[in-house]
Amino acid sequence: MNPATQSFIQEASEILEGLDVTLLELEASPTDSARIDAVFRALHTLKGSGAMFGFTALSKFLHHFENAFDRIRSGEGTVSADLIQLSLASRDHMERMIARGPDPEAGRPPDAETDALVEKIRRLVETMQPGSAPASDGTPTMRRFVIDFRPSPDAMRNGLRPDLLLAELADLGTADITCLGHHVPALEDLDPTVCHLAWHVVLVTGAGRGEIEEVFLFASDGDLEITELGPVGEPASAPGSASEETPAAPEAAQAAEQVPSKSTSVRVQSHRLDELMDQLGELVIAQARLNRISSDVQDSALAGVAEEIERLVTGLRDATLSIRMLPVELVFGKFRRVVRDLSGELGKQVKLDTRGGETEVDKNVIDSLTEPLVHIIRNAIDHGIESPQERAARGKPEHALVKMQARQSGGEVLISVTDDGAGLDAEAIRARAIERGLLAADQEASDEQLYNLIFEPGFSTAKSLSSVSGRGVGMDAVRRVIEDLRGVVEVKSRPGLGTQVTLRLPLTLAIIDGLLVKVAGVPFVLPLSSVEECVDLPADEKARESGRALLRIRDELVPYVNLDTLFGFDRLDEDDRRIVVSSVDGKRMGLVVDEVVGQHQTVIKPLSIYHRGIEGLSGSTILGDGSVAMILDVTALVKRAQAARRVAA
Amino acid sequence: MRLTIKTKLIAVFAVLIALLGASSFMALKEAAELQATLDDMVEDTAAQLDESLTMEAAAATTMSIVKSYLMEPDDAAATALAEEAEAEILHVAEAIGNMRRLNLTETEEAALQRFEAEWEEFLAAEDEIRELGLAKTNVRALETYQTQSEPAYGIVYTMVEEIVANVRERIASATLRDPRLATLEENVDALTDNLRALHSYERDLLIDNSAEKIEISQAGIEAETASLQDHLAAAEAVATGADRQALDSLSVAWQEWRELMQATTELSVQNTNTLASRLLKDQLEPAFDESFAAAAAMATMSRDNLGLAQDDAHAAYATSRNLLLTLGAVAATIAVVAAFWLSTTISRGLARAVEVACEVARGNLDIHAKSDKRDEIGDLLNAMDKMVVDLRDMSRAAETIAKGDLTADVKPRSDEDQLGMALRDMVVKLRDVISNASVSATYVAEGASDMSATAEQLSAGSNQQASAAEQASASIEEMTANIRQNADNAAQTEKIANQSAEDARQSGEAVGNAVRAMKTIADKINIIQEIARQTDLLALNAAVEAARAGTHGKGFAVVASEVRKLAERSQQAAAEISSLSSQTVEVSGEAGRMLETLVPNIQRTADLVQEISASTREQNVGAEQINEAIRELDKVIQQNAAAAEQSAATSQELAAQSQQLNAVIGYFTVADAGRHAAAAPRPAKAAPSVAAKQAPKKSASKTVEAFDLDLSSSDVSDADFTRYAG
Amino acid sequence: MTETSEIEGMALTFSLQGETFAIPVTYVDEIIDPLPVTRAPNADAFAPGLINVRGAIAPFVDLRHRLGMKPAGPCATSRVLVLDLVVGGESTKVAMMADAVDDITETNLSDLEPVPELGVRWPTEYLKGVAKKDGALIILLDVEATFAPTTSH
Repeated sequence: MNPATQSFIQEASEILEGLDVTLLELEASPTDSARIDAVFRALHTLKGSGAMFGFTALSKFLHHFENAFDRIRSGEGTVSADLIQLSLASRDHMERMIARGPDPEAGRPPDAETDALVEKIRRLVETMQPGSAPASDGTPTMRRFVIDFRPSPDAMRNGLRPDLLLAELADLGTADITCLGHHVPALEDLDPTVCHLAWHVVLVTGAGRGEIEEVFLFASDGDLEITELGPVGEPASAPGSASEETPAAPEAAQAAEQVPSKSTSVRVQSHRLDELMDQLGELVIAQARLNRISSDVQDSALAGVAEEIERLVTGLRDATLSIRMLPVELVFGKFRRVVRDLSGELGKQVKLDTRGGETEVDKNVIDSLTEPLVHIIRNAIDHGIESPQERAARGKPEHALVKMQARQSGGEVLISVTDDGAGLDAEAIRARAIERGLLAADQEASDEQLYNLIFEPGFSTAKSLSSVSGRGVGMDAVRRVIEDLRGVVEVKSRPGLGTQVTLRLPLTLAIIDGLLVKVAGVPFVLPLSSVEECVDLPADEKARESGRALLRIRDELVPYVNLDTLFGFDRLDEDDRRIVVSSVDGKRMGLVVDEVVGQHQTVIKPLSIYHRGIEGLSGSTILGDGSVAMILDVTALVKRAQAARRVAA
Repeated sequence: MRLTIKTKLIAVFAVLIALLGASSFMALKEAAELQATLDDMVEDTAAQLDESLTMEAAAATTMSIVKSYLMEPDDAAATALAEEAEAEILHVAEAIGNMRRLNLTETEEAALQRFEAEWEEFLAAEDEIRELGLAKTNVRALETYQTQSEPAYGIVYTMVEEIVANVRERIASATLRDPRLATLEENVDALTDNLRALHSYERDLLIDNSAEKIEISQAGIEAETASLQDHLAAAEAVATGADRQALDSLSVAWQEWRELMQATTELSVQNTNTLASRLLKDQLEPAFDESFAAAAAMATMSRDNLGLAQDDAHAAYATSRNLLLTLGAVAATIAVVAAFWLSTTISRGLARAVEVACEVARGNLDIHAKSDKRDEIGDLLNAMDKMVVDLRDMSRAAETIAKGDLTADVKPRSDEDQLGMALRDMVVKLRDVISNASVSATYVAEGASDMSATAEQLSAGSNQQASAAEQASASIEEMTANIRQNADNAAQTEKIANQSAEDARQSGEAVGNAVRAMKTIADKINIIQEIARQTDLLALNAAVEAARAGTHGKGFAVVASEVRKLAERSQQAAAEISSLSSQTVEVSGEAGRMLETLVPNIQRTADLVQEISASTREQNVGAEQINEAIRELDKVIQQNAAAAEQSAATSQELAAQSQQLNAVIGYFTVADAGRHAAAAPRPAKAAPSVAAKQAPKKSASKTVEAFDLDLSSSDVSDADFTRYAG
Repeated sequence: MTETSEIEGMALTFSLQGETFAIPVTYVDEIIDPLPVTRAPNADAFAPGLINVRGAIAPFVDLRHRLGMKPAGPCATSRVLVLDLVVGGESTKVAMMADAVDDITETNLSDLEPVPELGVRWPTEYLKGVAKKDGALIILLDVEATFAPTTSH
């Protein structure tokens, strides 16, 4: 069972667990619209994701069930004891359906139990009486909640306005608000920007728990405890209309809270992870500054503390990064469905083969990866793979094969999508490029250069390559996304044999281990993952300005390039220049720098639009002394150097 | 005859040396004898003892080995032992040979021969025994019996038993008594008895080995063998068929056994072991005892000889010791007598000589030392007597000279007579001296009067000098006072100059401090400027913020712009202060620089004044010194005047003394008397000038007055002086 | 929306090579003292480096270069303007150096005179108009055009 399915099952069982509770609550207060909504949402979510992960039967079954609650929601029916009974039975049935795993490709034979339940629901829906719908009549049951709210100490700095929160809460019903000030420190210790207060609210309202939680949505980093005391005898004086759809996240969080013992994993909102990462980034910079001060001050006690902090920060960084690391399979899993649907749609028979799904990548990368991969897969199936007739004519197997592979290489992850289709038509691309003015009519261009033109904005090859039109997929979007991720897209193709698109992505986006060097007094950071070693530049090589710059390092001739020359900087009169030997695609290349300062944990900040186009730079960072250093993109540098050498040659 | 001490000494020592030589010779001779005796003792007697002991031991060893091989059952071991015995015998022979080479006395020779004879006997017996002992027939007989004869007998006996049983059966079974069978049975039965007897004899032979028993057994065997043959023959005669065959085979078996039995018997009869032990007991042991006794006797003899030799040595030693003691005593006696005699002779003579010498030393020359002794002491005393006589002559001559008679003539007795010669020279020299002294006294008298005149002149000059010195002293005094005034003034000037320099320096420092303060002010102003600048920046940002806030920020924008203006104004004011303070710094710097150049100038003036002051002080010291020198000079001049007077007085005294001298010299009687009287009246001449000098002497000590030397004074003229040759 | 127009009416004036320029104050984030600039290799002369503005990295642009002035170092009154701009569809902070920051003035769009075709030393495509204030000439910059990245790179 693949990780995606596993994660679905985990999610589904959590939802079902919550459903159980909600249904029972609904039985107690059948007119609670918030509960009805919650049930509907749970069913909806299960239906949607079940279909995605191949639980087709479950999805179909859920459809009827969902339908019933949809009618109640819209006031066309009421919650009856029968419905609850039936729902609970169905819930148990769903659990069983999930337990037996995804449906086989051919689908599942119909079973009696499912049919019986479906029939019962259908009948119940048919006999539903409108009129007593809770949402529309505006007389919700008044219930009493006890809310204990303690914002996080930073809340005010983050712009939280507790007064507004409380006012909003009061709008929901009758609120009895008590301010708890016993955490306020003495005046001399009082930091006025820190929130020391807490509130105890007894709220009588017709609104549901979800609405109350919605009020606190943006104060979620504080302590919030909502206890329901049950319905109040007298109906309230109509505090407002029924709720809108509340966001799913707090609901899910609530479900997780209610069954803490069942789950060994905690769901964290991804923006919190991002916050954590940002904080960590600042921490790393501050720690670098501390190190610098400690080395200036030369106090052994301070140095000890600084080292300890460095160690802790490194550990924290690794731990945080590992939290953010997710298997690529999460992305790959989605494509089984995509490929299946798409091939059916296009009348092509395509098999998807995924490998290396266990390779882990930063969460942000994963999140951004789906879109470009969809583009690439679509392109491959739509344009790359031939129709069955053509395939037969060319003697290719009936089933086309699309391979998705992921593997780690140094600090990078390589994700490739390979099809065994017709390959790119270099001539067609050329013609299109000339037509679009990207290429002069008489300009010589290698196949590789031509292939790369497909990433040009608006360069649609749809007309020339495929009869399927209207689906023109801009590969430029792919390139943009990948480059935003500090990655590279490469395309290889062999006519008649297929195309391979490779995404070269960094493992993480936020922090890298870098090597801090100086070129003509300007600091630069080289990603440590691409650095092999540092050697001294021999004296007889120093004077050399151009020509074939090769250096013998342990019986291997390594070409090298003077970074100051490459960057157009004036050569400093530095005596002990060094060569940083880096490796790109297994090829070694030396980069001559004036000074190797040392290892540096580098928090990557993106380059502005003014500098983004500069080849060889991939980002910038702030050093311990507050100055700005640029992060070098070794791959691009090497390419640039090689190009320069070719020109020189 | 003259018997000198030398002769006596020679005689005494000669006697003593002769006695010593005699005793030494005796001692040597005795020692040589003793040596010979000891050599004898060590070489021969000890060797004899050694060899006889060897013989004794070897003989005993041989005996024990012989016994051993007799006892030894194993042939090879026995043979080895026999060889050992042979080796021991050779040892004995060797010892005998060694013995023969030694010088043997007759008794010893006899003892040796006796031993040899006994040993020969022993060896002969041993030879015999060895043969027998090594043969070991009894043992072999037993062996033969056990291994061969006994089984053979068993076979024969069994056969016979079978035959007998067979025959007896047939007899019993036969209905009819067959006489042949009866005969056969009879014979065979007898044969059986014969066999048993034979076997028994054979065993007897093995068991008993006395000669008579052996004879009996031998005889028995012969008889039984014969009887058996008979019975066998008889049985064969009657036997037929199967019986005959059985008998034949029996006969064969019998023959076989018989031979074996005979061999056993023969061996038993030889009976060597018994014989050997008997020989051992009868011959060898006595022979051994004899030879061992002979060897022991020899050893005893050697030991006795050794004792005798020791006694000889003791006797020789005693004799020579007595002789040597006697000789020593005689020599000692002679030495004591001679020594006593010689010492008294010498000491008596020398005591006399000492007595004479002591008297002479005391000055007593009336002593007589003559001696009639005829040895060296006598000669010494006679010589001393002669010396005393001569000394008496010398003393008489000296007495004459002491009386003032220098005319006496002293004659030395020889060229070595130093005393004589000295007396003679003394007289001659005294004569010379006295005449010279007389002349000199005259001259002294004359000189004294001359000196008196000169002293007066000197005294007058001194007075003049004294007054000049007085004058110089006064003027110097005046000069010193002036110089001191100068020095005081210079010191005061110096003090003032120093004060000025110090003041100027302090002013310079004050100016420097002012400049520094100004610079600090400028720095502070910079801070203010920076603050103003920052305020400006803040106000600007505030203005931006206010502008972005739109109408809400309008009021704040005004404040911000006011703040900005204030900041600008304070910046301006600060800049002005800054420029003012920098001007002040410049001016103060100039003042400081000027003061800085002034200070060295003042300092230099102060230094110069100081130098003047110093040199004035030095002048003052110089003037003081000059003053002091003039005072010293004055003192010297007055001393000179006093000295001049003193010398005038002294010269008069001298003249008086010279007259007295002449009178004294007159005591001596010299050949040309009268020469010394010529200068006697002269001292009177100088007397008046002394009186003239007395007056100025007093005034010179007070005020120095000049006076003229009156060289043309008429009371003293050249003519008044008499020139003398020399 | 009077408020908006009023805000738009406010402009920050600064001088460059003796000339007074203005940009709408809405673009101005803050004004800071000059800071060290890290040179970016092979960068466009208009944006030669990067600068650390309170922990954020901002590109440093050289307005003098864009306006065809001679390059000059910072002087005593030099200030760095940190601007909040939207460049190429991205909102970004941009730092630039001014010889001096003068004031915040109200400039009415209606008071703007068009840039005279002749006698203007600066490329007109970057200028929005000219205003007179107390007898002095203020050149209002067209922010979008002025801070657009160099295209012919």
